[in-house]
Amino acid sequence: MKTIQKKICLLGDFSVGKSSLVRQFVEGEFSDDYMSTIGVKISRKPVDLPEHQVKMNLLIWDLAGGDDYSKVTSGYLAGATGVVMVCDVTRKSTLSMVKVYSNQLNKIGKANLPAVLLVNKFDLQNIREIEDEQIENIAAELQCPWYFSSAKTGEGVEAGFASLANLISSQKNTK
Amino acid sequence: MPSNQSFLSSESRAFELLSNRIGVVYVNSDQIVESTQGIAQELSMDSETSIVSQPLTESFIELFGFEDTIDQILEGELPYLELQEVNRENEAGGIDYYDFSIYPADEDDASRGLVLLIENITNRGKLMQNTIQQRNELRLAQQELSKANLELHSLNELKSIFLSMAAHDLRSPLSVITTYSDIMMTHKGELDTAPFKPRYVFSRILEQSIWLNSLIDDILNLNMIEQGKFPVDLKKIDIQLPLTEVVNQFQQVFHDRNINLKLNVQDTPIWTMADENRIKQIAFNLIGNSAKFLRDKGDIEVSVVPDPDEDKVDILFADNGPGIPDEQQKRLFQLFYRTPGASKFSGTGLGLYIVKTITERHEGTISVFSKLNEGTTFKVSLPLLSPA
Repeated sequence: MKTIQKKICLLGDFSVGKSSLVRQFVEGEFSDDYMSTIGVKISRKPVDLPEHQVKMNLLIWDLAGGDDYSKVTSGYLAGATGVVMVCDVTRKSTLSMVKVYSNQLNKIGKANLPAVLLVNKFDLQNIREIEDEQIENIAAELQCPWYFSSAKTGEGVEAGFASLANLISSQKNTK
Repeated sequence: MPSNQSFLSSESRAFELLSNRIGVVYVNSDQIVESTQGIAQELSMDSETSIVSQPLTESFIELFGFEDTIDQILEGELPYLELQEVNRENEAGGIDYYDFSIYPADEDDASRGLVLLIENITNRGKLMQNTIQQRNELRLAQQELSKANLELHSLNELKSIFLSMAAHDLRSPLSVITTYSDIMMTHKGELDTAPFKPRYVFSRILEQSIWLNSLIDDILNLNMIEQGKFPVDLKKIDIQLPLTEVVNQFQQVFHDRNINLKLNVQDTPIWTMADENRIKQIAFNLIGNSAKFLRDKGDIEVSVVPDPDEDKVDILFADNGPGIPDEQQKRLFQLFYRTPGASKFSGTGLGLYIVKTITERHEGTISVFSKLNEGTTFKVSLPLLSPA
């Protein structure tokens, strides 16, 4: 099976669980302690894509959230082949931030990057603030698939990243 | 004045300190590493193997994908590349922070090669991380606070609405009771000539008394729930007995209305740990609710269905009333919530909230299934008492 390396970036508001998602996906671990990310942390995770007969080494750029969206410049996104947008199902404002990040991608000419939207912290769905319809609307606007995910339970995490890897691989194959 | 010896010594110490914090990589115009200094080699992807003669973007994980950007610097189209606060996990499991910068080696001719400067900024990074952490935690707390404020505000509004509704609702059954009692008093010696049959009058008085009683119970219960004092007196009971009692009472009330109330119970007792009066309260609320929406025609069926495999008993309250739209179902158990269709009936929006609270105090669950124009079923599931 051929091995290829791809860079992907995680984008989303602060405290939506981006770093926890990466940790769950890469190490299968979760911690309840919240530690804000500054700058960028890069992790690696191989993903098998049997349908495309490739093994994809994902280089995952976990970028700081919050006001630092201005850092989502061509500099940080250079060489990226896909993005994971993340919001928090218990905070409505984080879905609006997905839109802000998406606009930022448009500004730097990266609007066509394959993307998935992870609606994280689904283990806290009893206090959810975001309705399915709102998610569907944003996902339709971004033209990307979306998943409920929980970095705590692992639900939807593999599926979300695998979906992006497949999208990246499909896009490459069609070019 | 320091001696030459001590000056050289402090200079070499400074250089040593600096080389522990800084890495430099010289790169040729083909993006191939020519030499390294300081911490550069140990921060490379394979610290054991020299990165000299290797492509720069394959030597540092952070630079993968930057080939085109680096070419742009070599061609003078971009002045530099900076990646700030790059996180690296250290051996102790903590995080070290680095700034990566790529500049032309020769300011006047970028095509001659580049310099990658890696600076360990861990001390500054930790301070920044701490600041951002505090800022984010503060923002989360602010968001929580404004959410709580909004809830408080809307609860306050609902409470005002509730008070005016409660005043109205307390007066309505009282006026019915007064009117019918007055009729009976007026015709006490000649009941046969009264404009209503005595049985009808008494059933209306009983119905309104039950409603009044349950309304006052709800108000008192809400007060107790809010104060965290909502007692349930759990005892081993056959769950069917309190339900039978309530159904019998309602059947008398429904006698002159076209409401058919049926109870399906088992032949053998179904033992649970429950508060008999609270179970009656659940039944009063749910049957009363169904009757309210059926107006004067329809069927209500109360069924007790044990599920020993799941160690629970399901109590189903089903009616063939107008049903509840999907979007309203999830809000049914919220405090003070009344469906738009309920506005034409008396009610406070307390009943289902209290039913849910009682059910949960019994470690049970409540759910609702409803279809428009077909009817509604409330399912209260309570734990079965394990056989001794």
